[in-house]
Amino acid sequence: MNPEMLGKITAIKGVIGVTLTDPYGELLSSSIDDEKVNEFIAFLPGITPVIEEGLGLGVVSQVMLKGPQLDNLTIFIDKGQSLGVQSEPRGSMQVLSRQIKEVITS
Amino acid sequence: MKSILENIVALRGVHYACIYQSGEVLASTFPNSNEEGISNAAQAVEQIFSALEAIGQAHNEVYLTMGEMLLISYLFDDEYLVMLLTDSKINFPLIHMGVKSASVKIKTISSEQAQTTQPIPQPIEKASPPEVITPEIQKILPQEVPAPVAISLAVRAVMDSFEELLIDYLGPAAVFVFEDGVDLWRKKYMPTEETLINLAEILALELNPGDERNDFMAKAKGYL
Repeated sequence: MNPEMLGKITAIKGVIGVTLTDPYGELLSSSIDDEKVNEFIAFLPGITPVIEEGLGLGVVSQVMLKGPQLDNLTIFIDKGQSLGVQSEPRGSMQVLSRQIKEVITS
Repeated sequence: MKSILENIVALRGVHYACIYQSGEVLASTFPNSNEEGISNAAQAVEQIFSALEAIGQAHNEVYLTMGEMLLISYLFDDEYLVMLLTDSKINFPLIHMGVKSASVKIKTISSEQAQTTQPIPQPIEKASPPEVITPEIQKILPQEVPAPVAISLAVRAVMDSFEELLIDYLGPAAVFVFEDGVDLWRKKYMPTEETLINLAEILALELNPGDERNDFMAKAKGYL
């Protein structure tokens, strides 16, 4: 993922910040100020293989997290890099997810 | 608990569901053949919620996409997970409300099993029968099965106010949540003015913890 793509994703309405990590959880780029949120985004791709193995339904490609009065978090997991997106709680996560995928696959 | 899960699985797009608490699958409609795998997956989801809690984030819903399937997990009361396997294209508000509504029943059963609930009031004692029971008196003695306790007009008026208040928070779905809450309340308490506060507390559990719940309780107390 190149800086131009990250810029496009950041510009999507409702997006607060984005974080890009490598397969080892190292931060490659981030516009999310909260270090703990970045740590969580780096942690998540490490635990999804347990779920994949348990269910046997294939690879977890995306994780969305919601909570009361909290920013939404969406993490796109790829073998190469993972992208975490922090977004406003009022927006539709499904719509936002589609918009981000369009940028990633363009 | 399985019957509660079966109601959730009846929702369009939901294939399987389970309830997980403290390292144990309490009930499940997932195939028995993969019991261990489901337990491991639930444990991993629990770790995700624990990690969030550790960084001061209180997210309580997680949606994992696997191909054309979704694994949706809801955390209730920081205690137990309701985990669903669904199609990727589903009616999210419907599923969410269905699970939220079911969570009230799950919480009740869970707490009863843990024997932490308040004692359920015993049925009203039957009046002592007259010393001499004639056949005529026998006919009017209370029957073995107690009749349902009627709700007074005053209690009903407050209940209606609670329902209207709940609609302000949950919209039209509040009607169903309210009915479930009343069912639970009537099972646990005598429907009197004194226990209306318990009804308010049951309904408040359906709202977001914190300001929303506190706000509801403050307004509900205004009707008492």
